[in-house]
Amino acid sequence: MSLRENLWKPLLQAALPGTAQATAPGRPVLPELEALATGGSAEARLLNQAAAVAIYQRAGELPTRRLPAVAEAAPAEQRPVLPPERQKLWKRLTRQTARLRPEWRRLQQESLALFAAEGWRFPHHLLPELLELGNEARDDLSLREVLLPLLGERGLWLGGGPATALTVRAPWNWVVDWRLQELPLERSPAACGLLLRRRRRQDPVLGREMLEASWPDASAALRTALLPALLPGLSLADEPLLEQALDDKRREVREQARLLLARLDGSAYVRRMEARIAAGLQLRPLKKGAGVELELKAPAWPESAAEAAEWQRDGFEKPAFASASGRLLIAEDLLKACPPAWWLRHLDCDRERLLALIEASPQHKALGSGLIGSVLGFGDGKTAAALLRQPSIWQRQPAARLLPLALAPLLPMAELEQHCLARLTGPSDLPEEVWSLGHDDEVSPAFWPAYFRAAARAQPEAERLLPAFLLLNAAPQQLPAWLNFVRAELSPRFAEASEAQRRDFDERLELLACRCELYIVSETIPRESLT
Amino acid sequence: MSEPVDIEALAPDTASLTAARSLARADKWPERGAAGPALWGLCQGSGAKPYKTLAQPETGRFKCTCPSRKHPCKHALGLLLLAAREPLPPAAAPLWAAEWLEEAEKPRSPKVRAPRSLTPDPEADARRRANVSAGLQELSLWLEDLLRRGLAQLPAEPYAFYDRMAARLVDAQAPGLARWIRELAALPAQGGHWTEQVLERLGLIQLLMRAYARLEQLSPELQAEVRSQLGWTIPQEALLAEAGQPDRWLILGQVFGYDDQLRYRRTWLLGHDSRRYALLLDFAFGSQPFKQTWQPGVTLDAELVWFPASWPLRALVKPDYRLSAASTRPEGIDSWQALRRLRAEALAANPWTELLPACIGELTPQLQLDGLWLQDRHGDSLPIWQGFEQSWLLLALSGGHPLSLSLEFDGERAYPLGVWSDEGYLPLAATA
Repeated sequence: MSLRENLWKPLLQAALPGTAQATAPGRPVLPELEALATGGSAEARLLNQAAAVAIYQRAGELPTRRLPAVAEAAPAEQRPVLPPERQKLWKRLTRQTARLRPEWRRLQQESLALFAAEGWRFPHHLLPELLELGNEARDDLSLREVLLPLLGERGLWLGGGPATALTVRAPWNWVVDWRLQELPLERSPAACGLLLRRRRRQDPVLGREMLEASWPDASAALRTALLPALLPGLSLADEPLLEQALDDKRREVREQARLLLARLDGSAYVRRMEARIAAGLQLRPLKKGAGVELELKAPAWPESAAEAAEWQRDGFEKPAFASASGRLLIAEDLLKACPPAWWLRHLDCDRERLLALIEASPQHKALGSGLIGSVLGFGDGKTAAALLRQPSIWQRQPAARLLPLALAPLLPMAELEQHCLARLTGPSDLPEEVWSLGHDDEVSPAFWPAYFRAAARAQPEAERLLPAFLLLNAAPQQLPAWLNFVRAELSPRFAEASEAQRRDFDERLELLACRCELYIVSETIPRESLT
Repeated sequence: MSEPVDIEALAPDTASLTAARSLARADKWPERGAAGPALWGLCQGSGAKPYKTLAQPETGRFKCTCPSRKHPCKHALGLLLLAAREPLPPAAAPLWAAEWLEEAEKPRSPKVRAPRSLTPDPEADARRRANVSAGLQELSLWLEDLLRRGLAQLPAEPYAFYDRMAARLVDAQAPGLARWIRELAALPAQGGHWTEQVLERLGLIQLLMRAYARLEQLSPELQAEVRSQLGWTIPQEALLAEAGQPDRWLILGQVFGYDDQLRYRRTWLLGHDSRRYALLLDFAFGSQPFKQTWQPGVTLDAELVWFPASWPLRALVKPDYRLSAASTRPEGIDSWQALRRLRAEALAANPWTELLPACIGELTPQLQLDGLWLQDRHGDSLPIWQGFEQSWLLLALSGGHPLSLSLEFDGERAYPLGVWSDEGYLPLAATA
């Protein structure tokens, strides 16, 4: 029995049943309490002893314990800590709620990528914030990729290493040591997928080899999580592995393999899809020589057993062919797996004609869905631009509001520049969503003289003069001149604008200034270039 | 308009404050208004006619037609709390209020109100002491009866069992002890070692009653401690007029909490030269901001004055303070055993000590299945308070290596306040 129990037991033996039933404690455990055990009522004596024991115990005991196991300490840092000027900028980029908007998120990611490329790591006190940022980026694996080297040894220790080994579940299960050469199969699918994706982006061949080496030992859940990591750098060299995955025993793995194969122009899978829909997608002459109409006929379930087995391997099930609507959905899926160039070849027409045919077709919805899926899957920028200029096709689709956001990043930069200039002085025939996004390419130097001329004359409307598209895609070298121009020429014109316009302008100006500061602190552009 | 912290101080007892909180709703005051600095309102009570209430907090004038002898009554306090939450509409005082105000403007007779000082009015104090003694006699009987029947009966007792005794203590002007009794009510439901905890509490209450019975024989500091535990308050303006301790005070950190709708904030300070700790205790009602902002990690060049106590911790900052350069890392203590010794010292001076601040070197945060623990250099570990929100930050700063920490300790768990690193002191932010 512990001392604590020894002290309280005699008192509780009297206090629990009550002094009416039990005799009050006799001789106290502590000789020092003798004086308190005499005189007064039994209850008072009990309370006096309880008081003394309480103080005695409080003064002499701490509820400490020896831990059964403790974590190994984090190793020493290898990378230097982010310098104060960059830390200050990071604080500026994250301190306000407006920073949760997509354009600010994009700038944060750009900054993180630059810091990572420069070889820094974040200071320890910012690690929980950084890890939480990664947690929020469930649908943005590229952000998580960028974060990994910035976590340093401490972040890896904290995120997925010994620090959390003794907990039931690590809150940052995606964190992985980005320097590993083999997939750590004992870690979470999210962590393995992220490592593979990072390796794949650096070297597609090494990435594939990494996956192939782990494939036999990977669980079904892991195989499902790993396949999408092949997307960066996807090429026909991946086809054998993906064809092999089509025979996987897990349905989700086969599904992932099909999604990737459907993006591989020239793959056997795509050729099979083209062959299956070719007869169903035809131009049908209209009566009385009124031209032609694009017709979509859904294929039927094949009669030959060998052919049926091949359809099944590609993910089609016979019951889905039972109804007309089911067959139409299958036709849509087949069309999505055919590259836009095949559509043009097969129908022997150009893009504008194709869109006109689709719009005029009685099956325009299924055809439009098929073409949009094809454009998104194969990343055809020219067809994406043609589609965006013809809203009648995509506006009839489900989730039409999101389609411009998905199609816009595919647009060729030259086309965007042209529309951006036109939009300064008039309406644009591209949806407004286009201008709220970043792009993979930078704005060309040739764009800027025309922009400065047009912007100097344009109405003071912040979303036209400083669209997010431009703020995020202007080349770093162009930023000081643009910031100088905005401060000197545009800012005074917003002094008289409405409060909402002024606030919008200020926020966009702050984004531009922050981006400019990013390249100043990273010494890409000199601070003296700002006036 | 009065800040909520002032309203709290105005309450004659906690029961009045509790009752006033339930009256601080617009629907309880069908007619109300602010006539300059005076607030007036009609509060519908249980009677046919509504009570007429007038409150002028800046001058300490309160009037109400309710039968309560407390001053200010719960209606006046309720009106103040309501006005603190949502300003009353400006409106001319109705006739009854105007008459009262006019009456109040007349010169007061000298015996109406004496200026508050640290030394209580002997006459009023004697009355209160008699009241408290009567209340404690009843409490003594209640305790004896409780122990005669046995603690095993307690889980079956309703809250009213405790509340009745607590209310009696409030009436007897011992609100501090009333709080202790109300806190007892929650223990049987907690399971575990509740019987031990209840008996421990009862023992400490007994100790307080015995100390009060021989108050004159105690040192002035212990007398002040006993009076404070029972619920005597000290006017802050009088305390601020006392001589203080000048120093550079590092604001170590803050702990926030709720008590019904009243938010409290504990701010811990450490003197650079004096090595003394100080506790600034603030209250705010509902979502109202605290009267003063203390930024953890900041050092103040200030003079502090402590509330009289046998182990003084609670203090006030004199108004003329300024920000100072950051202070250096204190030597502190280096193990949990050292903290135990410190606690023993504190308990020897004040047996009712609950919280202690400390700066401890070489503590390593260790994450376990049941939460975060702090391991000292001897391998002894103490758990961190479950509500602590910065566990990951603490782990990130440590990386499994020892840290120098400041913390608040309640006898069971530690609540980290801040960390000393190579870059200086980093407070671990708490959520208000």
